Amino acid sequence: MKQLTRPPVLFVAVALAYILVGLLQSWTLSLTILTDAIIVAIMAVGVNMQWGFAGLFNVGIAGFFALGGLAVVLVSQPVDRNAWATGTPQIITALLLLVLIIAAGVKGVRRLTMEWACLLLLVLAVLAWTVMQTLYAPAVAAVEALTPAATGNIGGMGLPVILSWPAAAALAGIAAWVVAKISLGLRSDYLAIATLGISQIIIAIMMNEDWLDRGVKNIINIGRWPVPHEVALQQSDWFIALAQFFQADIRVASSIFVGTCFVVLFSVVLLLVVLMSERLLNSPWGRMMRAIRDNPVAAEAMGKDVKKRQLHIFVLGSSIIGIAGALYVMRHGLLSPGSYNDALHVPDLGDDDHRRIRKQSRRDSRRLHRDAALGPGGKSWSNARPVPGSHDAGGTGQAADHRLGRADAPSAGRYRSAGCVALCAKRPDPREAQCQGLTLAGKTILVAVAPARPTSRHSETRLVNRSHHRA
Amino acid sequence: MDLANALVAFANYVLVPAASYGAQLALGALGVTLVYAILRFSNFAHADTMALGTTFTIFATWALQAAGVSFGILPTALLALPFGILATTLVLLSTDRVVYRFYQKQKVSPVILMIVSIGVTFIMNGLTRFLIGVKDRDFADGERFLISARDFRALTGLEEGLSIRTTSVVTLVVALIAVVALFVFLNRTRLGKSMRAFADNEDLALLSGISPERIVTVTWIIVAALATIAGVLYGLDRSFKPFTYFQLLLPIFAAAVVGGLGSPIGAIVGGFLIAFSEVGLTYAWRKIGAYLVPPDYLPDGMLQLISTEYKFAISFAILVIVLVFKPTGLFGGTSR
Repeated sequence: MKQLTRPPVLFVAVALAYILVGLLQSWTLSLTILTDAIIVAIMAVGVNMQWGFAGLFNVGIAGFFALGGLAVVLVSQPVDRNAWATGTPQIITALLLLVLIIAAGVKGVRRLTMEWACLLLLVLAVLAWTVMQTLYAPAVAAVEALTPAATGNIGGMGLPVILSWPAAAALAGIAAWVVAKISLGLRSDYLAIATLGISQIIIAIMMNEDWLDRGVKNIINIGRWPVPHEVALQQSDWFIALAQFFQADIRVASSIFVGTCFVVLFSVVLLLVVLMSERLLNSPWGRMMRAIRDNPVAAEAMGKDVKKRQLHIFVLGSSIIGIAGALYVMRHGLLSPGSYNDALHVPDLGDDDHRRIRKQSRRDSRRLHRDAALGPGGKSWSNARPVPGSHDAGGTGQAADHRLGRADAPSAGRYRSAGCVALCAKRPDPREAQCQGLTLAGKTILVAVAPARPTSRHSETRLVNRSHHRA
Repeated sequence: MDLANALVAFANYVLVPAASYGAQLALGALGVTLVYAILRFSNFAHADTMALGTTFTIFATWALQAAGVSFGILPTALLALPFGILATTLVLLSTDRVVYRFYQKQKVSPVILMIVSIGVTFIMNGLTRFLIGVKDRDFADGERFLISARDFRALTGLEEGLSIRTTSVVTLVVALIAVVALFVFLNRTRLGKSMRAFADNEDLALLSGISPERIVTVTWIIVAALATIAGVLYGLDRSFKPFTYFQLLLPIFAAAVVGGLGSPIGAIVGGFLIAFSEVGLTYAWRKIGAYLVPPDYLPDGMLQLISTEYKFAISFAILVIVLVFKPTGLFGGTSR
């Protein structure tokens, strides 16, 4: 009974919160929070697959989330022909050579005896050093020297931003594959420590490699096709007519319209991801995953390839986190690698240095003003440059104010984490605690938007038994 | 070729900084490894325990400074250390009562305790930021240098100066005292021996009448002391900023894993190994090379292998090498 009534009550409570924000503050703010919540929910589905389905503890969520953002930049930024002429091919060649060298090293170490392996590694290290010095470093210097105030990076592929979602999944998946290859099969703590490391490295790379994504200089004006820009809306006749029909201020109307578009678009993604994850959980594959989680030794004895299955689900979960990262960057039109530098969480949602958030919101408001200065009919997914001289065309100052409003609530994240632990400590039924503990982080966030379906410890045990019989 | 100057430059830029950083890491790794050995989980909250302990110590330092107490040329924070340790102990013991004990009773798997410790990290992090804020705080007082670079030059007539900061010496001395005290405790006292017995085989320890409650309590007290000392030393050496402590987690864990999780000696060796690799690989060796190699043969560039921004990558690389080749660590911890 309790399990039936609790989710709807929570849903209504959360919906009320959004309505209250809408009524008391503004609907734009409410929609902004809602899109962020959907993004976090998508991420939570990915995390839940790793923590909950498989019992693989990933601490480096921020890193995979940031990689998703990087994919957006690499796919959707316009092609920079100058950079291609100066150094991009060399950089790509150098990186490919580096990957080949590392692959050769891994293969060699596996096949050869200790002495030969050491020799091989030494040769490869010298080779890698030479590649970096002769090919990579000069090309990077050349690319970064190109108009450093505006670009100074290799640019992207100039494709629609939606195509960056699979790219984000692939990028995050590859990083997860590398980590998992190293640390799966060892004790579970090692995976956690390794993911912690890789995520710090990913964020460090994104912050310091200016040729890649301009580092801490940030990338602004990221495309959002098919969602229109506010300014484009304000100048299109049909929208002016629509706003007049509802007798709404056109600035407010345009930001609400854009917010709604994002909510619809992201909800579709969330729905697909949740459906997929539920289907997976209830398929024979999901049953096997749970059996592996609850008793890896027994599952292995039944002939399951535990390590390989865990590798699959780890990569899959990280890919979903990567997609969430892509959506996040697309929503905010800004890639700011410095802002990912928090332990597990999305910094823009809460608890960080007040000053930094204020600075960030100032920056955002500047960005929004630049957005506002886009010429009419500026293509939404290509990176339109601001037209000099035309200042705030209106409509976005308000959005900037909302950023400031959010910056005034820095404690949100703290309460969220407090809630997490409180739930942890106060599980009523000790028998359920193990499952619940695993799916906890997923659920606390998931419960805000998506239906959480509690699975009791009993059913898990039964499932394991069943899978034993089957095998 | 100028060996004396090269040696002094090496000591000034590599040896002293790496030694004090290594001592801080070693103390941190000792705490992690003790929790792992006795309570059998990886304590992700350790870095933030360090930050919290430092916060308490800073408060005590301010109180002492306000009362006009000082410690001569040494930083006042050393006098405040016992208060910090006491407060941290109270926090850790209550965390144990409220959070960890619930799970330990059910004998849940270590992964769950690890996740729980992440939750504790958040709480502690929030508490630290709530108590002292996020600003950079320099709480080191007393004499800044034991030997300043200028004095050293005047004293020896060498071109290179060796400046030894008070905090470096304090770090090494305090770390040495703490480690010796810990080992004497573990090897000589009855309680310490029963802790080792408990770590070695829980069931046998219980059968021979060792009280688990007592062992766990003592462990948390020791961990609180180690974490506070490590945190305060780190804060004295650089400056206290709550955010930087979480980033210490990776080097600390790398140190503990390199030495073998659960092995105290391993944690110390691992701490120094990580620190020396980090400092050595991110240092620009050109300065020292200039004394050793004739200028014509000196290669271009800074001779810096990895830029400082990627020092995480070094801990990570060492961790990966250990995981691939010797998952039990140098001093034989457990791998599964």
